[in-house]
Amino acid sequence: MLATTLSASIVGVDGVPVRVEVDVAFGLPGLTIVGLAGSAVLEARERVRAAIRNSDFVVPPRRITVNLAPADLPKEGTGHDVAIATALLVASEQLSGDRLGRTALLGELALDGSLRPVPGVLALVSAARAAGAVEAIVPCENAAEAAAVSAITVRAAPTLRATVRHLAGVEALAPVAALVVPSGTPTLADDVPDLGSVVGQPVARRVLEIAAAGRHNLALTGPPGVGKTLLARATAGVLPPLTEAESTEVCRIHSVAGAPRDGMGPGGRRPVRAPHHTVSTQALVGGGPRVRPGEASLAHRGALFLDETLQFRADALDALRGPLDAGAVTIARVDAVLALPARFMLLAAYNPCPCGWWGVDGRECRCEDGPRRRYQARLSGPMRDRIDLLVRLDPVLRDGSGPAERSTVVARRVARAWDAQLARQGIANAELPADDFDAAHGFERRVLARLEERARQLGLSLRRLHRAARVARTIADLEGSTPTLPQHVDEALFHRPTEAAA
Amino acid sequence: MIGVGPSGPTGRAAGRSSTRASEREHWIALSMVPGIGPAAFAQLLRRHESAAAAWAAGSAGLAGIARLPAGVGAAFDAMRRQDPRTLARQVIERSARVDGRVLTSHDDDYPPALLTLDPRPAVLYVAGDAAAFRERAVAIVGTRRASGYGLSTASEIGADLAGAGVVVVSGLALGIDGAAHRAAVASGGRSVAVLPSPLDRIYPPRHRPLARDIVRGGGALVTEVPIGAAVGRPDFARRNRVIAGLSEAVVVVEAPDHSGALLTAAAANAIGRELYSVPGPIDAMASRGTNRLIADRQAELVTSSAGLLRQIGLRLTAKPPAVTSLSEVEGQLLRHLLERSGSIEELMERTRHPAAAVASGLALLEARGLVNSFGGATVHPTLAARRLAGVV
Repeated sequence: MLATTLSASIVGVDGVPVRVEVDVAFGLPGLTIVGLAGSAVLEARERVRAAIRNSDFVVPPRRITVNLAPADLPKEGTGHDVAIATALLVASEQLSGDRLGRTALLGELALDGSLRPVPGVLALVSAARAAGAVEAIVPCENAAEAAAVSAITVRAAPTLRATVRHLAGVEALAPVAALVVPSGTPTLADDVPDLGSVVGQPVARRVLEIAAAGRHNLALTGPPGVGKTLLARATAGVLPPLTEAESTEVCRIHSVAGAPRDGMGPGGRRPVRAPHHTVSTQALVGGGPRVRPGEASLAHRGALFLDETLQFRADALDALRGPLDAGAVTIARVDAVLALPARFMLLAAYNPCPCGWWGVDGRECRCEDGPRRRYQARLSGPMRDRIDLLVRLDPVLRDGSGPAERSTVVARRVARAWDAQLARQGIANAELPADDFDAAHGFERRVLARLEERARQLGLSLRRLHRAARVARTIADLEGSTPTLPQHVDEALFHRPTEAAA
Repeated sequence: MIGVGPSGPTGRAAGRSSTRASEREHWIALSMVPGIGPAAFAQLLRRHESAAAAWAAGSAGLAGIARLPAGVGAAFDAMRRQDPRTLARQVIERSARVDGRVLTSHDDDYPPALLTLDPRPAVLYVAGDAAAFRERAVAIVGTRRASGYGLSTASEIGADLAGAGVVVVSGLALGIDGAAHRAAVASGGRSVAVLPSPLDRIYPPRHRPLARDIVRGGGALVTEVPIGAAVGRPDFARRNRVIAGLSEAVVVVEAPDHSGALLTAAAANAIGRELYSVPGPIDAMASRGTNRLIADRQAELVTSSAGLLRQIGLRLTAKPPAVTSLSEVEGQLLRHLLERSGSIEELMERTRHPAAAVASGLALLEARGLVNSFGGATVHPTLAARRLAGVV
């Protein structure tokens, strides 16, 4: 007899519905899985057999064929176990298949028949809903995550036996309620330094506020010990809260990667990723035989902080050019081209030369010319082009006049500027297309004239000009100004990255 | 005639000693022998009376020439296996391919200033307009690792000299040299770059666009190194001597201890060129060499660009820059910067304006060419700003 259940598989960061078909026929006893199943899927054979037996059901001594459709889609992972086991029970007439049509079954089986969590449940349940499922049964550990998907009833099952009892109508599993994430300004996580603890550096403070408000790429450079790392990490603490749509995207990616999603609900904290400079290109942008989201995707809608940026491998840095432009990592495979979302704000921090004192007036740089130039060339022209704001930190420490502003105060101003962007265009200023530099977006004729005048005077490229225009728009939003004003353009241009004089 | 010997490359001796190749071609070929510099070349000419005769004598004729590096004889004999005519023609053709010419010290276009040297470069490879050698020329040299102060000062002096019609000579190096060339070209003046490398391998590569601009601006590139010379360390010592030789005065803008610019300064003193030095703060490593030149009375002190021009008998031909009105904040910023260069943080403290106002003010001043930060944290007023304020 033939039975079909619904499951789902992960491709990139998206779920794809998978129909699990099981046929039980006369012939030599055995269990075969077909449909481009990866090794973890093939091992489902043994897990399913043991789980069924240990749940007091039987694996019929027949020729059992399992097909995972669509058969041409490579499938990975252990999430199909429950769907296979259930379909097998229906096909061998130990369970009625009446309720199976609109129920998605997700989860890995332990040998004793209990359900184990799988990564990416958010995307899997969304895919099941798209395929017409009205109900999803997931492992208990995944329940809270799965419940975030709307318009589908999510039930948590501890064991295969409980799943079967629910499907047989003996004992219904209770639906899981969506967890309500409290909205409002998120509090600072323990590892994010407060701006109030940063001494002096008024210019850097101002620039990082601008960068955070419009999600512009920010670079901090200067000699060792001036607070580059501290300031970059503090930037994370003033980013505006996640919108609902953003939260869904972020949670889905983190779910697929099996990373914690604490506090990433609507109104929650933006993810800030700080990979070490020894990170491989694959870990940074994603990919691999089983495509997994990299740090760039985990930083989606948040910030990617590259401390000691110039120590990163050149190919790793170069691989970031794509996502910095397109907001997505494109991975081409033999069978498909995948796009992993990766729209992040880049936070770069680096010394100006290997010894750290190049270009600091009154200090001697001890580097040889060759190594110094090679070091500086690691930030390639195209990467430099993609940085919106650059701050050169001064090594001179001064006592600030009075206590410094705390992160929460700055975050409030940033959030206001962010709300203005959402109300006007629904996206961050950093993402504003150049076609939209018009009156409706606060670019009146005189400010466009100022932009063109400065481009001529300073010899700016079109890309640089567009970046400056977006930053200027953010400065206007911070000031609550509807039109972008010429002085906003000038401030944006002053902080553009310039090449150190040769 | 001093130092070159009784006859030139077109002299009487030519016809007598060679029937197959002209004296000019022997002259060029002999100058290309690795290890035979201007001094050895002059001694050989004195001994053999012509380049052709020296060529014919081969390594045996080198005996007793002072301070020749080891292996010159072997290299000379290896080269002598080729026809000097072919050697000379090849280097002329290859130079022409990069729009360069080969000048012997007897050619009309050979820089007159170098004729006073003993010994002088026997052959120069030149690209650009040789007319630049006939005008008054002043060299500006300094460290490659220049500070914003150094770059700003080099630019100012370079622009002033060029404005007064003086050719700015330097070595095309990074740092001070580059700033001086750039300022001269930017203000419409002529500049001459003396290279430590052949014309087809401009060193440093990063200054290739600058070299092109120098030629386009009516200036010239000069080098003693023939095209096709074995790749080796660029010859800075000979380059420095030519820089000093081409100029009536040498200005050292910024140089730490042991800077190559101090070698140019020494060359200037040795061949009798005026030497000027720009002082720096006593705690600045980058200015230790220049301060030392002044302390040791080897160089004249430069107190201002205008003062320097007066000392070499020139007058500023400054026309006040056309600058439209500055806002109050911009004016304040500029006044503070003219008093003393500083970072944006210092300016915030001094003017009591917020970061936004200071940054946008500085951007406007930069766009109008009144300030420059040279990619560092410190902002310097430019020459135009000084003129505007009437400081100069």
